[in-house]
Order: sequence, then structure tokens, then C-alpha cells
Amino acid sequence: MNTSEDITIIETKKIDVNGPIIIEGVPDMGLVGSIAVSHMVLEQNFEEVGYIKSELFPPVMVVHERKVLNPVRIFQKEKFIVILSEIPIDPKVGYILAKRLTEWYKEKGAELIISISGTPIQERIDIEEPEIFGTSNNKAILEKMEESGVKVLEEGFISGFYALILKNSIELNLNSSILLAQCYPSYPDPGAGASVLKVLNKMLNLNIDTKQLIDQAEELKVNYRALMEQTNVSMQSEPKVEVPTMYR
Amino acid sequence: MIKRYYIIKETANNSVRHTYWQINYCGCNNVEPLAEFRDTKEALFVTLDMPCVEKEKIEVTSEENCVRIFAPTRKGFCYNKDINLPFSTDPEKVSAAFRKGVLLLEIPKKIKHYKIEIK
Repeated sequence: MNTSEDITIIETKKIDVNGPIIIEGVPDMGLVGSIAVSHMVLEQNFEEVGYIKSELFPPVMVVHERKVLNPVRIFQKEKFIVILSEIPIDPKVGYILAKRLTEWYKEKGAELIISISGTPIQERIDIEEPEIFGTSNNKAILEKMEESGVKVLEEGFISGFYALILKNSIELNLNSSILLAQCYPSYPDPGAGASVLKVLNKMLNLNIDTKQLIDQAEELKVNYRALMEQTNVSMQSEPKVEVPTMYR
Repeated sequence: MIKRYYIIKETANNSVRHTYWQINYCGCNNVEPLAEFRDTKEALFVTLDMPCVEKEKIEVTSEENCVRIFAPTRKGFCYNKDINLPFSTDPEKVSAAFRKGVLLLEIPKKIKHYKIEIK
């Protein structure tokens, strides 16, 4: 399979940002990334500037407010570029997509890549404010994470799509980081999404209001149920993310 | 939460009919709630994600080899799930709680211990 032929990044509007910060939200544990990034896009009025097409993606189109949309879309506001997927990424496709995306990030001169995900915890129901764990290939970013309340991973494993983003970023000399919120393993978790956005607010000096995520958590869980079900099936075919064993 | 015991009727041709459940079965769209299972020596712990549900409207019925969950939502559909057990339980000892839109079930395993006589 040829990466450039199999995955095409279409820019419907010219994306010309100096040193953009990329934020990724792809469905996986608790749909933390999808929920957080989707809320960020809506709440901060990001503009849709492109999409990713591939014959390797399932034959799905998304309808939002009567508009037919591609399931993997690119949004932008100021120096922030957001990748939002509304379909689970099959592990095999993940290899090619991660490679193509990181090449594109390099072309765009990305200053930082932030991948948002979840780390499952059995006692999630007893936790009011999920903790955020994180890792990065850049020491300064790790320090920034700690200052923002992130518990930096000392030991552990990262697996799946974001592990590939991190791996490719190291090869391409890009600054990449992953934020993992404590979450339900198999249920959509808007609470975890809200926690990760609070950290992003601190890390990137943003002002994303997370109140709506908490207030409408039940409705959001109903809306995300089908995607969570598909994601659970997709995740069964890839190694699970281990719960961090040590942190600062 | 309503907790009733399942009534099983034997029909003339010996087929088992789940009478109680048929009476209470809702005709609207049914959706299986997302579920997580944790199996231990003593019990099976099940959690079911059931947002937009009122605790008072959840029905959990239990028999020796099956636990059934039914709940109407505020969104116009119902959650419905049958958990078929690979072990026997004591239906009266099955316990349920509903917190933060998640139904937690503890299904104890009926463990029979026999002392074997050595001849």
C-alpha cells in the first residue's frame, strides 16, 4: 500500500499557519478525544478547512444539521489545527493514516502535536474529577504538562493509533504529546473529556467552557453510544492501552 | 427501582414461556446498553451504561441462569438486555444499584460444596 495514494488530505481552504499546534481527537477509550475535540470545535467556533479521504475508511458519511460531511475532518482557528474523526480507525489503516498525517504535520511546520485519549479505570464511577496522565518526546513540553496538572508517565505503555503518531513524530523530529484522561473503558465519557479540556486551557492558554459537557453528559452519552459500540469492536482487534504504572 | 422475580410457565408442549416479561415488554425501539463485565470466583459484576433513565423506572428481573434489564429512557427508546449466565445464581441475592447513569449489578455465583466420602 502506498501511503500518499491511500490517504489523501484535502484542504478546502488554504491552511497557512506559522508553527501550528495540532490537536487530534480520534475515537478510542471512552471516546475522550472525540468528545473533547468535538466540543472544542463547537464551543470555540473553529472553521472547517479540510477533510481526509481514503478508500480504506468504512463507507460512511456523517449528517450534521442537515449537512452531509466527511467523517474525518480538519478544523482551524488561529494557530490551532484540529483533526476530528467520527469513525473508529481500524488498526491496519491506523499505520498508514498516522504516517500520512505526521508527514503532513511536518509539511505544515507543526510546533506541537497533542493527541487526546483515555486510560481506563475500573473505579471510574467513584471519581468526580478524572486525572490526566501524559507523555511527550519533548522535555520542555513535559514540564509544561506538569505545570498544567498533568501526571507525567514514568513507566507504562501507549498503544494504538496515537502510539504510531508519537513514533512517527520522533522519526520526523516533531514535538508530540499524548494526554490520557481516566475514563470508563467502554462507555462514552464526557466527564473525562471535560477534564482534559481543562488541562488544555492551562497548557495552551485557551478558554474553553466545559460546563456544557458536564451538564449535557447524559444526552451526549446517548448520542455517542453508536460510535462507542463501533469503537469497542475496532479496539478489540488491537492491543489495549496499559494503565500507567508510575507517575510523578 | 422495581425488582420482581421472573415467573416461568410450562406450556402444554413443554416449552417454557416467560410470561411476566411478555406482559412488561415495551413495544418501542429497544437498544442494548453498553456493558462491562468483571468475573470473580464469587460473583459476576456487571455495569451497564444507561443514560437518560430514571432509577424508579428500571426493572431488573432475575432467575437462576438469566438476569434481564429493562428501562425506558426520556429519549423515546428503551434499554433492554438479557444476561445469560454460564453459572447458577440465587435470584434473591442478585443486587443492583444505579449511580451516575450506570446500573451496577452483582450476581453471586451459587457454589455448591460437597464433601466426598473416601472409601
